[in-house]
Amino acid sequence: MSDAGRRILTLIVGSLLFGSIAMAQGGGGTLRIGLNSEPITLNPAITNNQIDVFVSAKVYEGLIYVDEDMNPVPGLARSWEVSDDGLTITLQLQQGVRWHDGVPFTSADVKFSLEDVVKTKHPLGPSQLAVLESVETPDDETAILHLSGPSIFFASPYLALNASTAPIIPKHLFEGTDIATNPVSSNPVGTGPFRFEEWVRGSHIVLVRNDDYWAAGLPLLDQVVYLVIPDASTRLLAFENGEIDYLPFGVPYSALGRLGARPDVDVIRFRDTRYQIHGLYFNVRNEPFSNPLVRQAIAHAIDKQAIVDNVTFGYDRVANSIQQSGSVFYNPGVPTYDLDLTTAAALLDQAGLTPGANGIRFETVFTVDLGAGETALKTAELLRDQLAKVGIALKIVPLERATFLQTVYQNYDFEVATFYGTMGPDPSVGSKWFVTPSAPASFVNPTGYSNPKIDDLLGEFAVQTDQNRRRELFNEAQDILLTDLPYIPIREDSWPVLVSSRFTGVATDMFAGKADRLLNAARR
Amino acid sequence: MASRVSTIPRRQWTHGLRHFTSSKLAGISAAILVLVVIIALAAPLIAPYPPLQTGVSPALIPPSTTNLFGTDDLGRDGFSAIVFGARTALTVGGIAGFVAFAVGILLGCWGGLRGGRVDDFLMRVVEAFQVLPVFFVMLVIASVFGPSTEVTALVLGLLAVPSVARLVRAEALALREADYVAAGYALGNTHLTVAFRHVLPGVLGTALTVSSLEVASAILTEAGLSFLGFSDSNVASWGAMLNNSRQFLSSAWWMAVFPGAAIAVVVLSINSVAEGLANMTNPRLVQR
Repeated sequence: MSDAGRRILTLIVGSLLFGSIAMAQGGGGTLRIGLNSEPITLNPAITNNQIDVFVSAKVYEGLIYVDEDMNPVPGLARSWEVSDDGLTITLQLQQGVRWHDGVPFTSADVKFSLEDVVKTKHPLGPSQLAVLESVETPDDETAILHLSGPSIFFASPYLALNASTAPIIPKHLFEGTDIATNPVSSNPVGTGPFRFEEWVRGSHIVLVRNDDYWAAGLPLLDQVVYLVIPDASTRLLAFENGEIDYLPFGVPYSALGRLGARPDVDVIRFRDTRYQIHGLYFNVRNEPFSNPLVRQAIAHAIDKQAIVDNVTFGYDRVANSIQQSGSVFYNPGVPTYDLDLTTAAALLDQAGLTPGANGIRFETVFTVDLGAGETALKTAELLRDQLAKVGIALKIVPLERATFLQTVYQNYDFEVATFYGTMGPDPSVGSKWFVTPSAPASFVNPTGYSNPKIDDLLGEFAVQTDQNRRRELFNEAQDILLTDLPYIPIREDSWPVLVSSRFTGVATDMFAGKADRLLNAARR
Repeated sequence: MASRVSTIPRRQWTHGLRHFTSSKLAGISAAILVLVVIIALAAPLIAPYPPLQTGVSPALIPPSTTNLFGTDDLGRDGFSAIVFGARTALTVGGIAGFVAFAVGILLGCWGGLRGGRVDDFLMRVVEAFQVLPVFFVMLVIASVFGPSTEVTALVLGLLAVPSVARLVRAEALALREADYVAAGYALGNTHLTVAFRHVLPGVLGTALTVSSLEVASAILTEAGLSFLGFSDSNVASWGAMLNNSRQFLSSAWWMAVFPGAAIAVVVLSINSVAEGLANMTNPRLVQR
């Protein structure tokens, strides 16, 4: 039998088997999750890959989690205390926690994970844990973090200590070994709600309930099975046929209308992908976009609602700022630009761009990032028609991700380009989009827009730990950015996911969802 | 062999034309192609809407009297896009076929008539091109330079040169030994004159046949590239329509069926015309 054939057979037998187990037990049951690619490693301490974290975060845990309103909630740390100068964080750890192999979890594991592994080997470690000097372990249940200076990642909600940035891994299994090649990195032993059972490469990963989990009565599910199905339409078909219960990644908007109408399917929008904004940015180095009037005219000519309706079938929301409206850092008073073709035309006239004999004021090129998903090109196609109404002829040049990065972020060889920006769990992560870059780099400000005021505001924002002051700073930055308009936000991504309505409590929150533990997921 | 090359070209052509039209399939195919060319030329007159304009009708409506081929997810008219897509397909096929034909004949005749080191050199260059995997070369070019119909067509034509050049060279090599070519040289004609007067008519049929096959494969390759998203978004393209239709296969069949059928019909027609051409210029069949 061919490899593919064998895989399909495994899949079918597997799903029949798991299906019957779930039927027999009822209540908790087995949750089958469709993945678009195979994890690279199941050791979250050395990876930032979405799929790796998504799977391993059910097995390993972080110290402090973040809830949907960006408040810190206990993880492996049951409580914490911050010194007045903010440089010492004392963590009281959960009591009586055991690793899945039975060895007790202690503060030594925290010290080992943070100091020896995450800080040096995690992709985000060197930056987010930069200020972490040492971890003191006065006893098994206490870990004291000593910081060299203030850092937003160690201020509430303690992003540096959550499961995706700083998972705690067992010292007794990893100490003195090469972390990446240690067999435990593919056969994880954690403290989390689910134990690792098996990983059949190219096919599936099985996790089973940890009956000794420290949070009494949790988790509710008996088993979690990840099925790896790289092809998008096959994956979608498997979901439609009830072979998969949960599709967390890569659900096309076009499938939502059809599947959303089915009574046995829940379309859930991860509430806090409030960090992703789709729109466009200008190269303000050159004519005509060096003129703010032209940028404002375009803002008035864009029908954002039509884009949301046509491209996302109404599932997303119109974006007014560079921060999603669900965020505590969103500025509701930000300048907005209503669809108003008369004003747009007047602004263009004022900028000296009058229509020629053919009604065209000027031609420009829209460089589209195909890596930003199926929606990027469609947005551009709609914009071409919308801008044509005010006499701007838009030529679309779609580029595949690598070429786009080279052309736009390295060579600055563009006029208008796709903006697909994330602000990160805290906007200080995303502020690099707007400040003056020190050198060309991917996903930092490519526009040529350089405003010392913005640099100051966002510079202070990154190190300020008082949340009210931070809100003020970011509000002012949004005012300035939306007045100067180097970026035009168009829509707020809602990251829709599909869940079978046989289950409840599955998809909650994307940021946390990446590190979600499926604690409250259960069969209805 | 001698009888073949001494066939008087003009008689061969008129005989051939009769042979061509006597083949039903080739005749019908040729008629279809002529129709497609007319549609492409008269596209603005035939298409009811601008092909790329969004929202001309509600999105995703099935074929009806107002939208013959339905509309896509952005409310673009399918029929108009198919009509204008014919332009893109024929432009790509036409340019690629012409480049392959012209450059192929040039290199083939040159190598075949001159022989020796010139021939060796030309054929090594041609072979070097022949081993390039066409589709992947096109993918690289499209991702490096950005997708453009003209560049795609030109490169596809250049990549098709080897197949034309090698066949033409083989024919030219044989013709070089023919009595009337030798006579041409004996009269003091230059290589150029001999090539044009005596060799070209003899190799034209082969070159035309192979080039027309290349037209079909260029159209297919362009559709394939567009299907993968490497298409010029500023022109209507059947391949790009197919690409877009994938997400809607279960809800909007018309988005896939019409561009798919258009590609199939045009490519099949060109292939059977090419076959007709081959029969027509094949003296064994003609003299029957």
